[in-house]
Amino acid sequence: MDDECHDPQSTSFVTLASSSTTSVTRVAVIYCADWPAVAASDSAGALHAVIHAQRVIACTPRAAEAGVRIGMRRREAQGVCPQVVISTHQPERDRMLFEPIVRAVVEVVPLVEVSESGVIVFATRGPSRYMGGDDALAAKLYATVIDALASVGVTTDVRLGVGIADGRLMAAIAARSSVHRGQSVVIPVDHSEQTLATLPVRVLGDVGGIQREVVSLLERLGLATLGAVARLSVATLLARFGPVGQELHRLSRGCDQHPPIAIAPPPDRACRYIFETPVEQSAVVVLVAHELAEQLVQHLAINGVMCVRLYVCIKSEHGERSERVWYRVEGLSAAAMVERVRWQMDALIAQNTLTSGIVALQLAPDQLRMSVGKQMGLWGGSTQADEWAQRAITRVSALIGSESVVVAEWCGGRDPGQVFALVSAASTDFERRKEQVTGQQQSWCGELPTPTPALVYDEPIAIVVQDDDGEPLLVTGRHELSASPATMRMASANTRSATYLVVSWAGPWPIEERWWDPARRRRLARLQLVITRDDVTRAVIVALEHGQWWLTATYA
Amino acid sequence: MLTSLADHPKPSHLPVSDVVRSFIPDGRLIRGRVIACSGDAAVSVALLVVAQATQAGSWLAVVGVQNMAILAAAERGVALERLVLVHPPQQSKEWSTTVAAVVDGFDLIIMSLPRGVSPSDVRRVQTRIQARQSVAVIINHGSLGVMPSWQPFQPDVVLHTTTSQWVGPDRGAGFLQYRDLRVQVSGRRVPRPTEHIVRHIG
Repeated sequence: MDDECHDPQSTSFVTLASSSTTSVTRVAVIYCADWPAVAASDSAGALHAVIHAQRVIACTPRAAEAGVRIGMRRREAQGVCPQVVISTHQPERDRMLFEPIVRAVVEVVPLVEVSESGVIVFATRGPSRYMGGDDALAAKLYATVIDALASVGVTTDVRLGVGIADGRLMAAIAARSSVHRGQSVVIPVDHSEQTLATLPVRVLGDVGGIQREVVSLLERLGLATLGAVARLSVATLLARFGPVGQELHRLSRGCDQHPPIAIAPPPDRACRYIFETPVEQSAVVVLVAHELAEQLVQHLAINGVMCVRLYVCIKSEHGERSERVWYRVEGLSAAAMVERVRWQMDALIAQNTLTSGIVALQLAPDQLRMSVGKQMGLWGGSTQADEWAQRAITRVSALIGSESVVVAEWCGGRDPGQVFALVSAASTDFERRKEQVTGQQQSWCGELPTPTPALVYDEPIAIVVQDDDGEPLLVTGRHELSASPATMRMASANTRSATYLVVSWAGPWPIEERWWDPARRRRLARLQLVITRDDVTRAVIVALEHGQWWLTATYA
Repeated sequence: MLTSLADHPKPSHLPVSDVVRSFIPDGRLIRGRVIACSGDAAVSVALLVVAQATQAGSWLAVVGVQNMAILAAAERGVALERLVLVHPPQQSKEWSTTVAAVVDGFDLIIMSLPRGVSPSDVRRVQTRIQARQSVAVIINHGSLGVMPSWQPFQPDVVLHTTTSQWVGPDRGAGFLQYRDLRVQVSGRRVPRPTEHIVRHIG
């Protein structure tokens, strides 16, 4: 039934195998610079920066003018530009906002690959011939994306780039230079290697995904340009850099980072599922995808390879079809594959053109790389418990929505409630969880001393704290208490019966944040109180802000 | 002998820290049990009970507990990389379906029950906990004296905590350091209710 489906196994496996060394595929890259910041900001000319793991990962052009740079810490960014609006990284939002752009491009080029939000990649061979050359294709794409951006109402000045060249790296570099030029950049056939040779090795870190330390080492070794790296033999590079040496060798010549590999195509049961009755729920498709992906990854693992490019095709009963290629340079795990299928399902549903249920799902590994393996724990990195839990997370996320199943990610802060941010468990890579929660735990100046209260209220409760004379307790400008606290009661309770007696107290711990910004400055003082009523003793944390006391946390 | 081993591939209990061993019945966390925590330090003790097991590789789901501080969990020794928070729907039927799905994948569940959950749904969840050999810790940190909020559940062990005194703050000086907790242990698997005094941090 899906015989007319594009089957990459039969084509690309063979072609890749035969052309592994010499020719490089011609690739087009559409690149929207700082897409997370574009998605986060709501108005043109906004001063916006997006932070992930305490570092700026994207900022709007105006913020960049003000001096905000990628890789800055939050404090530094606020220091150079106090008005900057900081938001957290939300990949889900970036993806949903990028989807209309992808859809517009798909009108021109049927099979595209979205490696991350803001970047579209595809092979130009067919589309370019149809459009009458690379230049025509690039111009068409540029116009299409500009129109699509205007139609979704992205009013901020998106910096768009379109680049066509031989090989992924050169095309990505061309797209980035196109951002600065304001028009598409096409590197003629067979000129990519010469162009690359003149570029500084820094681009390997910026675009090629090579670690900064390696790039820095190359510079210190006197290898300033990619040409200099390309002239070295692969044996020399391997001897000096290990496995990365081979990647350097390939990248500097304009090839893909990993040599393509061909293996026997995986069994049909591992890549295709045909639903007996059309399915209407996205959750069911995702569950099936999970099964397929597990089998596929297992098959690939037996052959010692992993999938870096995955082709996913979803078909409905009435013949509507969604095809997409997904790429991840470090290889796609089963969970990552399922995530891609879910994204594609979401996009298909958001499109609102689906008139019938889903009847077929196909996963096909489109490009493979040698599995270099990773150091597992002595008894295996993931246990049965990990697998069960992750399966339950998928299931429960599908059941009650992924925003209701969350995990903690360290982000730091002075209030106990701020230290960890909650992110959706479904979009979390559990292989790297350890770093997310413990990566950079360090103490913050102005933190409350440990132990931390077990309950921290999302919405603090208004209370009244009084001294012995029944006067409201105040904190002076020098952070001293006006008197000793004596009683505490809920602001909503009107009678004396709900009054707690203060047995002892400690503090105050003052916070003065962002005093330079009138709109967002915060000044408060916190106290630890031990309170009692009806023989029940409790410890609480109360805070005074704008003349009002709040109950912020309880030791429960 | 062999068949009984095959039927129960998991060890019958999970590890606990020394402090917990001093008051928990049988000195360990037996799988398939439901533990109820109430009183002043309900949340804190619940975290303490499961902390050691999460470090040994078990996953912990916190279901429907509002306002729990992640930092407090970390301080009590919970391995955060194996902690997942779930906010289930409040209707009895949907709640039980969600919790049952969570129980399927997690060794440890800390939960608060929503209002008006029906006894039959609770029984379904409790059966699932026993079948899957998980450990559920139910928190009741509401006001004292009223009907305990784990009511439809039949807890095997009840840990009721009362703070006798807080040590640390001294009329403006110092800071909260630890408290002396009275832990009353009862429940249907506890033949004789006991009482312990524990020095508890947090």
